[in-house]
Amino acid sequence: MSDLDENLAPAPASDVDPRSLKTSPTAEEYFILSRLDGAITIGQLCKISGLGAEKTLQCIENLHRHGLIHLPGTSESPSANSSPPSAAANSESDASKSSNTDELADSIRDRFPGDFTNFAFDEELLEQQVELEIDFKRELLFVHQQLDQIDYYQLLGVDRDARRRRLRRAYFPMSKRYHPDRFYKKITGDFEPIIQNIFERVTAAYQTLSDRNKRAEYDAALERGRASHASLRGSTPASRRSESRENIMGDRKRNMAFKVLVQRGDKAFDKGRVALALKEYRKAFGLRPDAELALRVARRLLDEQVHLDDGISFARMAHKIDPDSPQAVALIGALYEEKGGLDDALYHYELALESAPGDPELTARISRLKQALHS
Amino acid sequence: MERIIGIDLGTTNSCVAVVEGGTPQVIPNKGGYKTTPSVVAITESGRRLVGQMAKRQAITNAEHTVYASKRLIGRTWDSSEVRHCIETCPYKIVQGPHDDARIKLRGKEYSLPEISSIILQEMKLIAEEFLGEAPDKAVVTVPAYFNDNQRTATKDAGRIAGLDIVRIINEPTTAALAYGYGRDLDSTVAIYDLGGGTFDISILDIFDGVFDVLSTAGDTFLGGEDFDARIIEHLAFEFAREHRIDLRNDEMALQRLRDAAEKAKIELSSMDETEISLPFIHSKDDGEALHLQTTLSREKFEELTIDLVQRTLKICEATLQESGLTVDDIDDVILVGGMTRMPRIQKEVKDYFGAAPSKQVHPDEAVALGAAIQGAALVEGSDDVLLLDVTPHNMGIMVHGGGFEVLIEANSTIPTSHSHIFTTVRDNQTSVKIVVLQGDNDQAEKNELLGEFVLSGLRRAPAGEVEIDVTFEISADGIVSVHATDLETGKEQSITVSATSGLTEEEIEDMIAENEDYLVELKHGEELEDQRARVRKAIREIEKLIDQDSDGDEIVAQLQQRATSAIAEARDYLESRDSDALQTAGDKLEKVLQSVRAAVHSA
Repeated sequence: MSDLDENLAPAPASDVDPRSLKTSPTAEEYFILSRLDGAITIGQLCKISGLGAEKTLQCIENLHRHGLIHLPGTSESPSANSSPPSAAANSESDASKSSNTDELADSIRDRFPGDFTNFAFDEELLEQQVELEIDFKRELLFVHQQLDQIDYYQLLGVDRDARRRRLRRAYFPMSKRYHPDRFYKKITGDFEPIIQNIFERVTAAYQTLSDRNKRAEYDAALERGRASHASLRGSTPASRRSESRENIMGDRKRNMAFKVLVQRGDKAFDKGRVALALKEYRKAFGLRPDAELALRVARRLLDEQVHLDDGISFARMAHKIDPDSPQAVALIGALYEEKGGLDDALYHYELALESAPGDPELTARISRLKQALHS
Repeated sequence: MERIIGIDLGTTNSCVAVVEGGTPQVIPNKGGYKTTPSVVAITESGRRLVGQMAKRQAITNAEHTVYASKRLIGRTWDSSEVRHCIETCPYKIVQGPHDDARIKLRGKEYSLPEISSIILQEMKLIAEEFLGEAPDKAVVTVPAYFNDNQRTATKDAGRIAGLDIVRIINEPTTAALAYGYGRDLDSTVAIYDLGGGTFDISILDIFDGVFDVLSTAGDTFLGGEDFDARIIEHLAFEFAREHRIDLRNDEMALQRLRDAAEKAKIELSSMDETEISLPFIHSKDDGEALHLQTTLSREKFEELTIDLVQRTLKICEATLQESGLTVDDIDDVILVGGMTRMPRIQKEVKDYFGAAPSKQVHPDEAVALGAAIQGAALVEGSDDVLLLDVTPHNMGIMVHGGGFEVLIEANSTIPTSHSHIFTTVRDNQTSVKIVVLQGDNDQAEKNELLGEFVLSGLRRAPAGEVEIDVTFEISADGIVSVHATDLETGKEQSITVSATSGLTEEEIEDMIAENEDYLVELKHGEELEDQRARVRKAIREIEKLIDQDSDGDEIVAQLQQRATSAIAEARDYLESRDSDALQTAGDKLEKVLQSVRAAVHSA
């Protein structure tokens, strides 16, 4: 009569109080409940309960329906008339798991200011032969490069008034995503320190925000608008000093590196090695998202009529940094026009015209395009 | 498939487990027991005995039988624990070459990692018999409160036994893994772990398969053996009152008292009183035999040990406070360790936490099961289980004036790192010595020394002008590394802090080789034994046949002669260790046996 697997070992649900139920369990059910420990199987229980197999199974089903016991491998919200076969339940939970992971990936991307699709990834690192999915490599670089640009609340994706329950719901999946143990068997190369850094920062965020004193201190520092986020880590004056020192040094180094990369890019471009040049520019952009650089690169690509798609992506970067300027949008339009994407070009010109009403150059282009499209 | 086994290397008992097809299970030893006594003995013939075998012969070989060696591992010669053991243990403890303690058995000095390696080897063998192949990687558990030196010594023990210990994890944490594995939990639990030699308490937050250790604390000097000791003291005291003889001065009597105390303790978990009967416990100088015959009630036992129980609860309280929680926040209490079978402990824990402890996990097996779960999680890279472990002690450095500056606080989730800038304290100082310590005392010297190194070649400058950035890092597998950079010159220096297990690299390598030699020798010995048995059996059968048939038949007589000479020849080799000769002798005898059989049948 029952389709319960007799090899299952039910365990009492610790989170449900039997007294809070509308229909209270019978003495027999209660007796069965008291025999369960998560180790004894249904089959064994039928033999020793003294109630007979049928009665025992009935009790277990009732207990399960009341939510008083967990049956491993079955859905936790059982319906009274049918319990789904466990294989189906598993595949279902697998599917929901993977979509959860995707959701998490999307949610994490949204927490950072950069544009993921047009992000200036370090191509060299991306190409490194390691046992990580390309999308995950991108995510790691995207997150790692921008760790200092957002605060702990943004990092965990929680509101400023989030309480402990919310914090742990945010932190636990992230800890699973970035804990080095998850990659124990994998070759991760230069991604290893990156993974560890991200995990440490996420953990610092959780631990700071879940400790009342540390959080108050952190909030106060945020309020004071203390220069950079990095200087907020740690709590002792000494460590704060060391962090900000590190940061100043880091800024100086970063500016130097930025300049060097831009120069290298220019040189490569001059020699006609455009692909290499773009790689250098992207690296520079990763260090410091600079709208001027992006515009300059996009314009040059347009002028020389090469790598127009890259030109569009650089122009988009510029637009993202400075959304109010019509220059970047107009440039996107021009690049599309050069490519022959007239609809897209028209759309962007019109968009640019909204920020710069009456611009003669844009107006002329729009009418020219409209004509071309009509004929 | 690569597999990582889980080993609970306990003070009194050890246990090995593995995850098979998603199910963690404990592997029973040859005797069918799921735990193996952590006892090692060396017999007169130099043979190593481990486990039940070693325990059984302890009375007659007390001086060369080592138990509770875990209490000594990673400790220095002048530590109080070593002092204490020198006074109370029947085996001989001597000073090692690196300020460590060694145990002298049959004239040979054994380091503590070597003793532990013999136990690990046995656990490895148990696993090998079950799996059909020798595992080479393991997750091994230690008490949460073990310091880095004790952990390193445990790791070295693994190396000597030919086991790569990929993780050392804390016992209460693994017990939590066993408790929460495969259950969709969202709760805060306390693990109360009272084992043979140590007490640990950990608070964990479990949610979505993540096991986040909030805080952990313990006492490495408090365990089941202390409960036994109270019974021994009590029995010895009563005996002394009656007979004016201190049984504790008599090795043999002490060993019997120890066994009786453990047995009584276990019985008192299920009975209200127990008989203790030790006939002929002592012979007086005049030859009169004295017997120890008494009963011990549960009540008396509780009275003798209540302070020990209360000590554990004090630690629980401190730990809860540390994690910023109250007893109301704890959803479930899990008891681990054989000692938690004591009804009084269950009652006190229940009273303290206000809820009956969970019976979800087996107190003797949970730790090994959890270790196996962690091993499998590492191999599979699965996202069902993630353990967020913590470092149990403060870590930091000695600062000017002998103070201890903490850089990584106790209960920090690992991996973790911390940077700190140091300046010179004297004018024209050209080098700094960085002393890395672990412990909870404000004074540097009262903490455990993890390592030290010197950063030299600094610019001559007034005090305070030169700055050195020092970064401390604890990786996910608990390895501590320190990285120092002179900010002016960019000169760098980094070390991996190798805690001192009391052994040098060279010694460890020698021990690995020695252990391998021993195993080869052992295998060879077993082979010889098999061959000898084969020879003896053939001899017996031939003799039986030629005895029965001794009429004057010529062929038979010839055969008899051939048989007799073959037997005589084989007997010469019986005592030798020449495997080839034994093999040849055996082959020859079997041929003779066949001829004899054929002759007998045709006759």
